[in-house]
Amino acid sequence: MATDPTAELFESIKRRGHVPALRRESGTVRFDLRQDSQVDKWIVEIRNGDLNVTRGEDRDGQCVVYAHKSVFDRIARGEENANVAFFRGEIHVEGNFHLISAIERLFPGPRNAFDPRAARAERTRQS
Amino acid sequence: MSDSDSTVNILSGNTFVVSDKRGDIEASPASPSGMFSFDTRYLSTWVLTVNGQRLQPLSIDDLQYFEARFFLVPGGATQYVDSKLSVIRHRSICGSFDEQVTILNHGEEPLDLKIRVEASSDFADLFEIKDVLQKKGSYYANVEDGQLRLGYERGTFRRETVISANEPHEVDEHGLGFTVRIEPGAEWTANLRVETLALSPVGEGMRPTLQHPVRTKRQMYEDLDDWLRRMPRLYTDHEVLIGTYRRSLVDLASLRYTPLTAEGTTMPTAGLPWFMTLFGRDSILTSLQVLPFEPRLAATTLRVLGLLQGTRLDDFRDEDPGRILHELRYGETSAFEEQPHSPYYGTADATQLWLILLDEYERWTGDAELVRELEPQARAALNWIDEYADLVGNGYVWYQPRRETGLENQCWKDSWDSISYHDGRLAPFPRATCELQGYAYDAKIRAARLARWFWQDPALADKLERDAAALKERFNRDFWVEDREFYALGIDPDGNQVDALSSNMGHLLWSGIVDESRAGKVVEHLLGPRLFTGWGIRTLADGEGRYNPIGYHVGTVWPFDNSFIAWGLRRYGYVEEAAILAEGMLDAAEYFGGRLPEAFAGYPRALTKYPVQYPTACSPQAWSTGTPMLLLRTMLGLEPHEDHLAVQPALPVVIQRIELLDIPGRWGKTDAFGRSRGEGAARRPALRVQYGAETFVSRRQRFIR
Repeated sequence: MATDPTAELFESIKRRGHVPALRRESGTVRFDLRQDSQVDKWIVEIRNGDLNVTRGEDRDGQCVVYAHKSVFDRIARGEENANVAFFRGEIHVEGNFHLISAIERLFPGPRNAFDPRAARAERTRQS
Repeated sequence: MSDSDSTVNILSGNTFVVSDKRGDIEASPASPSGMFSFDTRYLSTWVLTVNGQRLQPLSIDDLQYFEARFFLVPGGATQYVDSKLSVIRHRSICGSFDEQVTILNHGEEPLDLKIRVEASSDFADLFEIKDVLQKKGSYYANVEDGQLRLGYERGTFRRETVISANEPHEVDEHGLGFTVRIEPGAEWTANLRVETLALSPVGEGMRPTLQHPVRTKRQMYEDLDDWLRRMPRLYTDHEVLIGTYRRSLVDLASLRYTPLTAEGTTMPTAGLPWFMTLFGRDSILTSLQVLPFEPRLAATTLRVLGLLQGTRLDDFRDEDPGRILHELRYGETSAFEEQPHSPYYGTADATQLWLILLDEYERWTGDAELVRELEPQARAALNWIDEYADLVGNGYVWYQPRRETGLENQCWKDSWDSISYHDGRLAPFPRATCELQGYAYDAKIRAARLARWFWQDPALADKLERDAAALKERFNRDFWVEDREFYALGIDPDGNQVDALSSNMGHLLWSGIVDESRAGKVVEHLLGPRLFTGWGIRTLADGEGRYNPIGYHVGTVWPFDNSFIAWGLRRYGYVEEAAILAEGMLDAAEYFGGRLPEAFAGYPRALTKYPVQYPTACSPQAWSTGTPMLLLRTMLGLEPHEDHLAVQPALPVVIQRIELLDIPGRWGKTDAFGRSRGEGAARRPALRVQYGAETFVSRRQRFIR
């Protein structure tokens, strides 16, 4: 069990290495995640679908995302949808919206969601 | 009471104003007016008075879709108009909502006036406007620096309306006032501005979010001029067709929308004003209809929907990996997960239709680059059809909402009672309607072409063609109603046919899944008296258990439905029948001033003499706007063929000549000409001559040799 879900989320994005669906995308997104008086900075860089993640650098991005770290902890655990957090104002985005939308697609969904493939297998077994 | 209840809309993207004919807004559950942006109402009251008197309209200029002008005088509508002053409200939307109020003194005495604009906002979500609200957040109103700031706050969700004016004025929490003296023959003018803000807390402060690029009115006009100039030019002896085409071009311009993710490019929304947002099905079908006229809409639609394609499993949003979204909304109900549109993925056809659009787009434009770019999304979409859509395990596309907030019917007929058996019983879940299978078949055939020529994957191409062939065979066995000789509306999870006779069958012709030997029977049903009204094909046939000529999806005629059926008829060689549908729709369009509605009643043409409009909230509706374009395609028989455009015209008897010039495509620009097929075409009969079902039979005999 990861003690820092947000760090785990970014690590998992880094481990993806290359995402074919993002191969048209290139750019840098910085996440400024506040916790108490600290700001934890993460940089996600996409180069034609290749992903790289670095922590702690204060680099400019084409897109900057501001949020409390707790929001990203919830996203990382599949308890929060990043879009609704954005609509609610808990996530603030400045700059290229296209890039963050592409990265948002890599965040996890809710746990224990219904899987049609499993249900079909079950149904096929019964019949 | 005057006709001031009727509404006037102006809009730009998802920002719009719906007011009465005085220009006033007094929102109530029964009268859903207001100023809206990003699916939130920012003004629910906007009332102009002069010396405490309301105004009455003399006339209204709908200048452009983003601009309107109201000519008004004080007093109620019952009074004899003898006013010494008149009022002009000139408003536009170009990011903010701007209103110029001008008052003219026609009298011989100076006028001392108190002019007031009452303003308030309930900050209703678009999904709440027909209900009496019990909002969970709190309201506030501040006066600062001559501005009125109205606000709503629920946790971190914050929306504000900021109202300002350029002339000296008083301001309080309920509006703005001007105290002025206007000399005889003089006029007074003030400019009011209403800005909408969504705010999110960053650090200690608040920053604006969800912003549109602001444009000047001049830029809006230039953009519209460019849009109209780029479109193919139409020449024909059929005046209604010209008017309808022009109306459609302007309406389509107004229906364009730049999603936050689209990097400045535009795509069609579903309808004005309530559906000015990203939709899967509506945006794709409209893009398909208008491909021969403006292929760039398709490119944006493909990219934006591809970017937001499902990547995970999510019950609330009915999201699956590879699934193309249904609808995206930014309002409070989305933000607090009271509605699932963030985005919502509950559509069982958008994924196949997205693949179809990708192929059709390349066939027209030769834009191989986009086909290569979207290969991963296309593969994910194909995987969705096989892996996630087949809920029963028998090789069909099925749907069933996973939560109560989801859509019951995830096909284009998305109302609750649309999918029934012949006897009127509703089908149980999951449901597999026939057109979903047709789209899947077509998507696979088309994707096979893309795999072979652009993705260098002949093995995938072969597999897709084998799968498609197997699907066609299976489908023709399982969906064909033997004794009544048509394709069932769907099948249920027990394998029984949902055996209503419906227009869905027409889409099967478009998809090509219909066995050649059965096409004749299908066409006979589609243009027979139970489905064909004389104007067009009903959604559900007369004689079916749930048939109702004014039922939303159970008997009305939908222009867009007919346009795709006409395309299908051409595909199977029924060119005369396709022309009959085109003619019926053009006749209907004449009654609607060139703007085809979303749907009209399914009464026989001989009964009502004119098409009875179904009361719908949105006008124009995108895929009704696209209908005349697709009908032009079917009448001229336009098909991209390698690097040129093939033209095989088959005009309705009432049209002698159609010339469509500068059709864009992989050939650059080219022209298409269609001429009538015989002397019968020389006369356009008076419109009131009715082509009921009986007339149709004799006409048809004339066509089919």
